[in-house]
Amino acid sequence: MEIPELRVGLGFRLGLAEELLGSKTSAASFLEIAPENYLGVGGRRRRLLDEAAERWPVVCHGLCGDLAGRAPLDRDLLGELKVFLESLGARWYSDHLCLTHLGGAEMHELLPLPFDEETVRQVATRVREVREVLELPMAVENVSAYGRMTKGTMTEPEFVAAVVAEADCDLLLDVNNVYVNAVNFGFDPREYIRTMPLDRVVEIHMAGHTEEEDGLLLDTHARPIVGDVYELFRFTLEELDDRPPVLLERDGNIPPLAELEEEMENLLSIMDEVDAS
Amino acid sequence: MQADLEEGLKQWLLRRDPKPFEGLDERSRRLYRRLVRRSLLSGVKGSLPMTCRLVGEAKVGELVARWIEESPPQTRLYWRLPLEFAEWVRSQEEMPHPCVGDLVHWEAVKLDVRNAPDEGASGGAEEWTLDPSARLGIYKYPVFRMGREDEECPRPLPGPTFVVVFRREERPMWRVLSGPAAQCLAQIAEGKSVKEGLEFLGGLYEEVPEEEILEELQILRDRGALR
Repeated sequence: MEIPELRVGLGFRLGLAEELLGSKTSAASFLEIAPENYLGVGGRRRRLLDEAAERWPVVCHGLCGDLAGRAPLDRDLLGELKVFLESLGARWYSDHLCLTHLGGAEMHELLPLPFDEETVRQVATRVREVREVLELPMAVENVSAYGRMTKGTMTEPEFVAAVVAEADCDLLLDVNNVYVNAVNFGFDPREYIRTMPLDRVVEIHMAGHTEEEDGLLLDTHARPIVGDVYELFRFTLEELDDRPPVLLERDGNIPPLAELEEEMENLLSIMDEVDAS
Repeated sequence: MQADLEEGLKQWLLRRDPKPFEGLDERSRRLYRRLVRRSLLSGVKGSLPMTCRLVGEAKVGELVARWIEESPPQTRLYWRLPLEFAEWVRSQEEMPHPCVGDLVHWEAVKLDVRNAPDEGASGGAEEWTLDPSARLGIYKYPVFRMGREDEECPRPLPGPTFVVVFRREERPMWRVLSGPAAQCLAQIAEGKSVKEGLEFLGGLYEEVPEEEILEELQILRDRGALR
């Protein structure tokens, strides 16, 4: 798939929209949105999105595609999504490698999957179906987790790589999620990155996390990126042959835009340093 | 993923007193239960500030927990969670305050109106069609007159009252309607013309106050609820 010339982007949030749209300059060369927050929506919410889309390219990242789901595809919703993505000129679509829908109920949380062959086949089938309807390349994102399904027979990187291969899809590599899981499950994040199908990475996500009292890390996107995650980002860039677009996510405790601009500048500096070395 | 594993996880996350889900260790299954419930509560609570003030956040939390257990969310759109919650609340007989059903509905309708599509879903070929943001509600309590700082249930209205809510300059506006005007508006919402709406009323009432209805509809048109 052709990777567009996007450098560092920002997750578009309503709480930031007015300030972002009012800014004369920004380090962001693209924005990312969750279509579920805009499907069938008008009024102020849609106007702000339209104004943003006039100024920046917009990348779309789903929240509840339920890629491991057993329920039949919601073709009406997918049809709406297709129209929406077309209206924004989306060049690919991504969603999370997790469960979000259980037996007729929407959980609105990213739930863990068993890492086994059956789930690989199930996810790959779903990814191909969604891609066929949307007529867009699909990418799957590695998610943060706080527990492992006991039924699993594969490691997480083996599972992610197997899904990408079986579905012949792309990978949205969330570096913070790799770090969070490495701490939570005690593995080497660099080894994980090396095991990923890096030639399929179309986008990188960067974010902050929070730490529970017992040391468990939660992928809250409510704090700035920490030093260890910047270092893992640098390592990831060194391992990659291409330069996929990099997104800064911030969903909670949203600070003034200037702080996010500083984080984006940090990311750009690392990218420049790696490119120069 | 096996169906039994999926069902076990669902029960664990949503039921009041579930059997432990064996597919995850104890610490992580407890954490996921907390995260799911927190996510759903946040999705609802943020849109119901007046309800939270009236009954307290803890009580709203209890109601959301009951809703999750009895009628789990169906929508994939996070912003629509308060609308599903409001439907469930209105179907309940017992509420902490008598006006809570109306108030939750009112706050959810305002959210729906704010986010309604800009185009489409209006009436038929007649020149007057319903704005896609317009919603018609019926209330026993004047929750639409409550201010942001009100902390008490208002006294009940003398009878069920029709209110149309619509978006103007990106903000929800409302107007109380007479019963016949509301019924005529409901006909327009179904794609009928004003004339057909009045004819429909003619089948229900001996005398239809046509002039008054047309006057009310004209006001709605001037304000943007009708196009």
